[in-house]
Amino acid sequence: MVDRKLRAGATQEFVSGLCAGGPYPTLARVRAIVRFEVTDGSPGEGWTLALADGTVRLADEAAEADCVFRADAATMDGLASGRVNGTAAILRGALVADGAPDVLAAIQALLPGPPGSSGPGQAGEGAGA
Amino acid sequence: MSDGLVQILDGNTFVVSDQRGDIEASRTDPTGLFSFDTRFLSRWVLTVNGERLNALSTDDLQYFQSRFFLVPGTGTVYVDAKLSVIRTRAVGDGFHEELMVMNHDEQPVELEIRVDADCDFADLFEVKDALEKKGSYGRQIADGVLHLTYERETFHRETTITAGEPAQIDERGFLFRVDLGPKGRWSTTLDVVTANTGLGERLRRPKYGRGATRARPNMEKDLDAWIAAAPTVRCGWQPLESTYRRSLVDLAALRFSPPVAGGRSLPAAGLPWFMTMFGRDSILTSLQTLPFTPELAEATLRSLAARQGTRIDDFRDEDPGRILHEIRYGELTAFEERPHSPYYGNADATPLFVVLLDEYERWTGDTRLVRDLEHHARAALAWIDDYADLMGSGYVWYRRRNEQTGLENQCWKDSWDSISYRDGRLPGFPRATCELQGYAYDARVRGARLARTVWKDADYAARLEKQAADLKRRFNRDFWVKDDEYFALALDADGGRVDALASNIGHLLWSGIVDRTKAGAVVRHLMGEHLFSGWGVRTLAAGEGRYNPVGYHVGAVWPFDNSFIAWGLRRYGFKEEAARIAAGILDAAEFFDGRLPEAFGGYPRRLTRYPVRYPTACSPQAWSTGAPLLFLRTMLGLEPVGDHLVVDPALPQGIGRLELLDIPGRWGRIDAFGRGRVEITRSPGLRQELGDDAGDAASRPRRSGRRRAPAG
Repeated sequence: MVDRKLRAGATQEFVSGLCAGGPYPTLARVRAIVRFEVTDGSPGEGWTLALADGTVRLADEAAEADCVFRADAATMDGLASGRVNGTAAILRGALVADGAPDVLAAIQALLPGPPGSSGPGQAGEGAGA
Repeated sequence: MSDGLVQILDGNTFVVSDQRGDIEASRTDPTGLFSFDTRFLSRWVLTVNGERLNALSTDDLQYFQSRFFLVPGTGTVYVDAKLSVIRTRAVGDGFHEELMVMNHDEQPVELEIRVDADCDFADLFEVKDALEKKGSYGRQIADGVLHLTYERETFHRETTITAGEPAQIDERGFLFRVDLGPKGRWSTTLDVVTANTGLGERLRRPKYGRGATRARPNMEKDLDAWIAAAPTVRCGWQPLESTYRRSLVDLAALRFSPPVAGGRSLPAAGLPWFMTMFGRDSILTSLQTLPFTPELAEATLRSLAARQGTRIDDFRDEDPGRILHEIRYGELTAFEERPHSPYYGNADATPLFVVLLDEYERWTGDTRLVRDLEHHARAALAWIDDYADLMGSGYVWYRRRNEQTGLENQCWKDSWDSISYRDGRLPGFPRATCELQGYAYDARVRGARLARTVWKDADYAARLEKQAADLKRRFNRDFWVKDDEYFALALDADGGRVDALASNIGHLLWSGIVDRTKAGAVVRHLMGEHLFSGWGVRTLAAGEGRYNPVGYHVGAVWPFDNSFIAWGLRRYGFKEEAARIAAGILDAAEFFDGRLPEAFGGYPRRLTRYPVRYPTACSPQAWSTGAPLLFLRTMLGLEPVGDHLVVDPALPQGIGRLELLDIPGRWGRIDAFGRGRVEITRSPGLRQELGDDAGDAASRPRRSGRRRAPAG
């Protein structure tokens, strides 16, 4: 059994971080209401976010969403922590993304990379120059 | 593609069948109905009274439609048939098929007409690599519809098949019992619809669906409009007109609209394996076609920007600012068994993204796009500094982080043996190939222009220009092979020169990174017998350790490569050499009915007399399709300067008069004219058509474009 609270906590942490951070240049031209819905959580579990002028803010739950991301808590948590790739999850039906593709892509761009990835680094110094 | 196969396509949906229209795919056979990188039909076989049919003829009516004329029996000796079948197929979200059976006899006949259907739902990568499936299959018949399904956890794919006429449906297909009177006819339709549940698709009818109440989206009209919107070519050498038209039609076929493109179309890389967005291929094809179909460039730039890298992801070789290499939609990508969601492992698309953005603005004057993509262009330029310089030496290097399924060579020559020393040894990683440095130089120069003129950031522009100048100075020192006077193919991890002589030096001319004093020597190599085959410049020079005339990146001649080399020659003022390369490749195109293959053999022209097609080259391929268009630009010397288009023709003699009418751009529409005056008879073995001294040598080119009323 996976601890439901812990998973919800990871997603909550990601959403809080999004709202606290920014501005996000890739969202500069995006104005939309985006809803993340947890399909196996308590009824209505999820987050509604307002994207405007490069920022992300929590919005009224009742606001009509332009885009909806729908997944179970484990997938949602995986996305929030970078262990699940958004595009792959959509392709296999684990994540349902409904709405304008450019907004969906902009949201996906905000997701973190896998925790273990270290990046290119540098192999040495001074070669060639 | 193998000979004898018929292929039709619409976006990334395509059908590959035999000459009868039948599909009998094996695990590793590329026939079938494919969509979004998944095979949705692996068996589709028509029989009449248990007998297979024989193809009398097959017409590829359009790229999205084909028609098969069939008779019963598969014998080799033709006996007058009493029965014939016309099978017409159009692709689009699946396909729509019309079967017509005609009885030519005076007697009535009873017929059992059967269509067998099955599907393995193979991922394109599985077809290539013969991998096993991990999910389960299902077959259901409900309300006259045959459903073929595949499920693996939440991954669902489905093919639904319906018939227009009453049929007995079983899990293996459709059976029609038909009593056909003397001289009678019977017909039915069959609709095959593909569904990707993960992509949010709902079941739809194919675009060419049946039913009088439903308007048919007219793909033919769309094709006509596409061709009408492009400039017109008139030429004294008729094959060039045919090649141009073939290119336009193939470009139309290769248009692909990924979900992020907002309905716009960009060029996919090629049929059948590469009907998807590739950073490098889509950008280079957009560059080739800018003077003709600039909307492809806009769609490419917007779509690549939408999927630009934003995080560190070693599996996908993703970094912030990096432009994607390839995106795929199949099962292996969905389950992260392949990294193409998207995969970012390439080192050239990121600088080329900035190059295309600048070139696009120079042609179209569309500063809005440049403003919209300012962040993305800056992120791309920052990637060159922050993530590509793996050795801290100021150069662009590559080394994959995904060791299992990532790409080793992250430049356009991406096969394992493409980067070598003269003696054939392969260098270790990371590698810094020379053309990458040219692209990075050009990206900074062009980025500086955009910063100064559109983003109004003079400090940033000055910084980029300083970086570019510094890179050029160091590059001309570090990559230069002094003794033989050319640029090394790459630097190795120790800073040593990977000294094979390769076509990459031509791209350096295009990028402008070559010191003027060195250009002459580079051109002598490009046009010398080791690199120039008579048809074009070989990927690797004859005489190098790994040279092989049918080696994919180690000797074959690539039309796309040559189109950029010719552009580079023009940039440095070598008009005649550019014309000679254009003549060779365009002449070769005639051997392929105007459709240039991806590559052909590097054999000397005087030896083979015809271009030998590379064995497994895919066709049509986007940047081969774009090559004749770039050659037209190069031969006519078209160059946007401010709000004007400069025309400075240098054409091979045999071409005679060349007119390019209604060239779109910031000037509205402009015509360009030229006459062949460049003698190319010294080119070994060139055919009379383009090497003919009887061409109109005395004529003078018209050096300026005739301006028509601006079209706004």
